[in-house]
Amino acid sequence: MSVINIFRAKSKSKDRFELLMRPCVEGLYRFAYRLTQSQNDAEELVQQLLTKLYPKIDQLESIEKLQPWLSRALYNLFVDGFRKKQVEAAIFVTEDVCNETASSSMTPSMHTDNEQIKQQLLSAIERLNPDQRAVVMLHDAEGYTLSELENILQTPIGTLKSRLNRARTHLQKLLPMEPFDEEQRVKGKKEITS
Amino acid sequence: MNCEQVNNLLQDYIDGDLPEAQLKALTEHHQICSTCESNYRKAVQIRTLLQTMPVPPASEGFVDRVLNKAQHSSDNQKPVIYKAFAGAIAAGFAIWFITASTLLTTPVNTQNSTNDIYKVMVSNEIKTIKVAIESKYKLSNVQMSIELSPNLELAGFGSRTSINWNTQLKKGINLIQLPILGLAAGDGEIITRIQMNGKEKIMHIRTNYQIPDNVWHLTNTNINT
Ligand SMILES: [Zn+2]
Repeated sequence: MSVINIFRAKSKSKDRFELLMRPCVEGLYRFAYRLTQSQNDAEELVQQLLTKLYPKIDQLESIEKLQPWLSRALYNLFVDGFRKKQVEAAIFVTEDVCNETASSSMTPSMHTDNEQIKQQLLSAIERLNPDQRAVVMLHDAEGYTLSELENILQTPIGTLKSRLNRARTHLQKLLPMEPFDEEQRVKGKKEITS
Repeated sequence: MNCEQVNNLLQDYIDGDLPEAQLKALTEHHQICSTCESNYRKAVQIRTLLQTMPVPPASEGFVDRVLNKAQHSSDNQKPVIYKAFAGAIAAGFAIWFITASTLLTTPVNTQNSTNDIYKVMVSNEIKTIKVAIESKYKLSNVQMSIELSPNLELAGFGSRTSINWNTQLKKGINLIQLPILGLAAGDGEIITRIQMNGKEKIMHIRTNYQIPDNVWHLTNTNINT
């Protein structure tokens, strides 16, 4: 093969890869963001996936439903990275945190401020284990159905359902907020008692 | 229907998966029980918050960049140094460690420290050990120090076995990443200290560097034959 032919073959596979993947990148980033809760990590994850897939363009072109397939590959990459790192994480707590559990460090008085509730929710989400976070973010936030997730996360629907329930229960416990502001609650009570 | 039964059905109720009869019994219970009713409202509010939680757009030019880089990195086949998921990992583990180590969080003085000990495997490849420090308050002027046993190296710091610096801790999770390289087989130790106002908190990470099993078997076979 001449140099020019090699060059052509190469640029061709680059074009094919771009053509195939460009429409998927944004969706993948979104998916990755829901898993990682971080722009940086999401971009890194997508980068790793595409780098891994680039040499497999022939295989990619033969996949029928590409987006769910890619989401699944991305999730596997996420889980692999996570599992590898698990043993390496360690935490310790400074003296000021003594006798406090994570949830009680959030003051209930914050409940009226919506922004603060959102912040609390974000940190509560970060505290979920990755399996639970994946299902609650992809189902509740991103709107995937459980049967779609069964395929993408390669987990039986029953397991997903119990993870989802546990995740929601966790979030509820971690958010010591009241559903409505003081005034509305008082009103609500009056309506009940009257 | 009692409170426990209602509680068990809560998630199905939110998802709209309840059959008519149960739905009726549940809404009737909500009318007489304010605890379950407020539980339900809270669950719905969380669900609504989750649904409206935005995904910030990727950084500018991300799509072009990621496609381009995919090709070039594949050409070079350089090993990717894994640095993603830092936040996810620290956070994912926070609950686990806090509940598992509540006893370890007693304030300690320099004189009688009861210390936290963790174990990690190291090798001749750089391994990033992540230390997450959760602080209830923002703390300025905290003295941090890392000490290494002689059979370990903090990548980028050459032969230094002790590193000190002044820092501040933000409220919440603070993450330190230690790229650790094993220099010789056997046990080692990384000591992390946080000092503030004459008090200190120490964490020991015990390390172990073992030659992998398969290498050992190979060597064995070689000797036998
Ligand atoms: Zn009740």
